[in-house]
Amino acid sequence: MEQPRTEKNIEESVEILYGRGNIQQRVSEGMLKRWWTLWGYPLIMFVLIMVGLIGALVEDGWWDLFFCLLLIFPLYKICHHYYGTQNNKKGDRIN
Amino acid sequence: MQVKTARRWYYWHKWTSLVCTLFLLMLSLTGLPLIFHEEIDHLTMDMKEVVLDKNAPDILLDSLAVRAQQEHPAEHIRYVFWDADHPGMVTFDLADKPDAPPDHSHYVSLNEKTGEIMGKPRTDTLIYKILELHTDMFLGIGGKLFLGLMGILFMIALISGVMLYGPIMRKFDFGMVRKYKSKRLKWLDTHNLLGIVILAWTAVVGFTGIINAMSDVVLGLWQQGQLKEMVAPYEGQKPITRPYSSLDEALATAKKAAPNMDASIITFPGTMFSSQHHYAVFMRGKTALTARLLMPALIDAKTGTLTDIRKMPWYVNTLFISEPLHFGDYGGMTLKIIWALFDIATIIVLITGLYLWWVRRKSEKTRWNNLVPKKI
Repeated sequence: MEQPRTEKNIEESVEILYGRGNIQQRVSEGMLKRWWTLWGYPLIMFVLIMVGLIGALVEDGWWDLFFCLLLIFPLYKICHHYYGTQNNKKGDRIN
Repeated sequence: MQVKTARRWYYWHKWTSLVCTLFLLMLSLTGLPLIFHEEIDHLTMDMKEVVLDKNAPDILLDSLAVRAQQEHPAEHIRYVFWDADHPGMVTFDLADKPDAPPDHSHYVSLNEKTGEIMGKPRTDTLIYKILELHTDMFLGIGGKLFLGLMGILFMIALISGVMLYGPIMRKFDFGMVRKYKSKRLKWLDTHNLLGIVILAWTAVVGFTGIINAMSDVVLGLWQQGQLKEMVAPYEGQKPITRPYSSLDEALATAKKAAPNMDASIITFPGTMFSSQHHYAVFMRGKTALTARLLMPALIDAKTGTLTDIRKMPWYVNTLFISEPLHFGDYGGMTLKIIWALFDIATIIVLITGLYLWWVRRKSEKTRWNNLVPKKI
């Protein structure tokens, strides 16, 4: 039978998940991790594209090629997530 | 984010997208061939390639002007321009009147060393019509400003899309695409993945598109501001008539005033970019960035003397910088292909967005219940 969700139970759950210590600190670390899972890649893609677009504009020659590589990475990432990773039994892709 | 706030962002996303999507689809589809307009022009127009002989002396620009004039004797030379991508070639723009609209222009491209006609670029080609459709939908400045407004709506759709990405994706990993559950989920995940990954590109191209849509306004501001100040000493004087002073002398004077720059365009008296009394020689820098920025030198078209030279104001420079960032024509073929791939990704985002709106209309209530965080 499922236990009622009391404050003590939550603290215990947090300890199991993140180890003993300062629970608030652990929770905030968990939130940060969660935030990074959600926004990390979008942020990296945004920065890569901006650097690529502006870099190719202000530089010439071999630098153009370097900045084009930065721009190719997000496109690669789309293909990688769409075609390249494993599928679970239910048919959903878990990355 | 509270459900009420998320719902508000959803409505912003839905309505701004719905209003602008068809126009954005048109812009993305017409933008695709425009990325490769140089290559298409090369295939469709009868243009010769200049074989550059650096040791051969240049023919006088005045002589080249006479040669161009012979091709259209009844018309006036309005502009002379040099394309950095085609060294050794100079192109003359001729029209029936100096202030005639651009579609009245006839172009003659000449070899600077030999005076040979390299081709006559035309404005009645399919790619030019596509450019017109892309720029103003054949409606002139009204069409341009309307597309600018669609661009603003697109920017709001992007911002609201980002605000919705958090609540929708908070339970899932980045890049999740549920390809085999249902068509709607597959299209939703595709929309979210592509939308968030190409966000920076769409934001840059959308924003620079809005600036480009304001080009006539920017030109008007420049004419009424800096250009008016520069030609103020000539106010009230009668417009000068042909013959004008030497083009070569005007060019040499401008190069002396801006020694580390190359000439980009010379505009004749009475045209949109000059006064009734001046040649305006627009000089450009020699680096990748400064080559995009122009500096006008005004040369009295009777005496051949320099009357003023100034850097362009910030709003004109913003327009100059936004043009390559919109068209993606500044990094060779590799960048053009990347630009085309981003454009195709944008088309997919727009189509999946339309599809999602179509199939999700009836299940709005259920969807919002799914967004409510469960109480602990």
